[in-house]
Amino acid sequence: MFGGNHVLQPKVRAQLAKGVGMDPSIGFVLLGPDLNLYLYDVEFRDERLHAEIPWAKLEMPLRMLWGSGRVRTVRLRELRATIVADADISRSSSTDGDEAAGETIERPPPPQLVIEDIDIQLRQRDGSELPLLKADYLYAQPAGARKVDVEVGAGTAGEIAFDGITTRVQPSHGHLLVKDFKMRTFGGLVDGFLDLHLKYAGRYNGELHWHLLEVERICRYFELDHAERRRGKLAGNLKFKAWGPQLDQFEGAGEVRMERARFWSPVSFKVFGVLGLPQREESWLVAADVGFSVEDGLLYLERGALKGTGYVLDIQGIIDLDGACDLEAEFEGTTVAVTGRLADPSVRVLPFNAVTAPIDRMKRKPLRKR
Amino acid sequence: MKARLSLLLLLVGCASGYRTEEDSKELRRELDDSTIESRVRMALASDPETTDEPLEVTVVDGVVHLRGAVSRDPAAARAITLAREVDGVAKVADRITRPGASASR
Repeated sequence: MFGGNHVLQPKVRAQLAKGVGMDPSIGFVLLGPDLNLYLYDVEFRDERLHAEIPWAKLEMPLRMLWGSGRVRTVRLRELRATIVADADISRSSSTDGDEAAGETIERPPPPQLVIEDIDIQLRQRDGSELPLLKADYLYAQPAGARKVDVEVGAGTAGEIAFDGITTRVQPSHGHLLVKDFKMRTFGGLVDGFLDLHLKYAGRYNGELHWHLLEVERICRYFELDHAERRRGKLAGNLKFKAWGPQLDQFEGAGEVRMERARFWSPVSFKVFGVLGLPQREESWLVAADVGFSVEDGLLYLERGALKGTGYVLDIQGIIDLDGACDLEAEFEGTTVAVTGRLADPSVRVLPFNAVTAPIDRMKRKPLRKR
Repeated sequence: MKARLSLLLLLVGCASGYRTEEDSKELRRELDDSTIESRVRMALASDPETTDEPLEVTVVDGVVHLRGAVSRDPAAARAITLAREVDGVAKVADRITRPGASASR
């Protein structure tokens, strides 16, 4: 049966293995033979990408973020794809020229296999469907798999809701490169790349940038208190590298900036109280600029400027994933210690002491495991 | 006297594994090198001239080291050009073996 440039065989349905089948048009398009492929009802196993840390609960946003990296049990509801083999036999012989004599020979392009318009619809164990994943795949000799362009509709990845994701995945000589990653989320954009080292299981590094994320939406998503009093736009970046799923093997550094903010901060609120300053709207932040690193399972605030109307609070120290903090803040020449829970910290004025201040600033950390 | 005491405490602190500003700078340098390494790798993978060449990329303090045997001379030159164009690259050290060369340089 002929249909356009396809030879259709509507009665053909091949069952290749449990849950894998081909159906029904096998024919020729402009590039070469094409084949429609279907997969259905294939179950993937449960596997965490990030291990939970046994001594604490997933209660704080940073821990939630870390723990969210996992592959959930999903059932492939349907996969549809068109496979196009770009193997033009007429170009497979070499053109004129004598290679031995050093003449340039125009070689034919290597055969390519293109799988385009791949639609993958996954369904979780509870019956809910994951966002539709659309992809195009290119395979070419001699290097093999060349690239996969991926586009995902609105949905969630782990605990993070997003409006859409696009990226390109490309294997390259022992690495799997996730390039040009773009995710629209929290009213803004997160982009970056990931480099997975296939020769060393569990090793990866990458970079993320975030642009104009809405603070209030982030606070509401993580169910933080006072979300209605936390507005602003977040920008920043993070470079990171890691071995395996454990947080203590994750290292990163970056910057976060908050702009156009009306942000109630328990730290500046408490500092104002200790210093006898008004704790009303004067203590609210209008901007913030923070440099940080992550090492040995701790978040180090290396430099931070919390800016309010007419004041700047310089801040540095350590925060752990459960939100416990050990910080020092300086306000117009007075240094205060900020300790306890970041959401409701204890603040006390530190006495001026030229000898101990530098020592106080050096925070205890475990010896590096390398 | 105070200065000597500060120095002593600082040295004791460093020797016993305290985090210092230098630790932070070292971490940032390592992360910058990893990022450059990946960006060079992505550039080589994206270019038709170099995508099939099994080049190994390492970066130390912003210096990119390219190693491996290429099948065609122009691929080596192209790889060096691509590496130089990546942000943060201070220098490219060419350790690429060209066709016909008996051993790597």
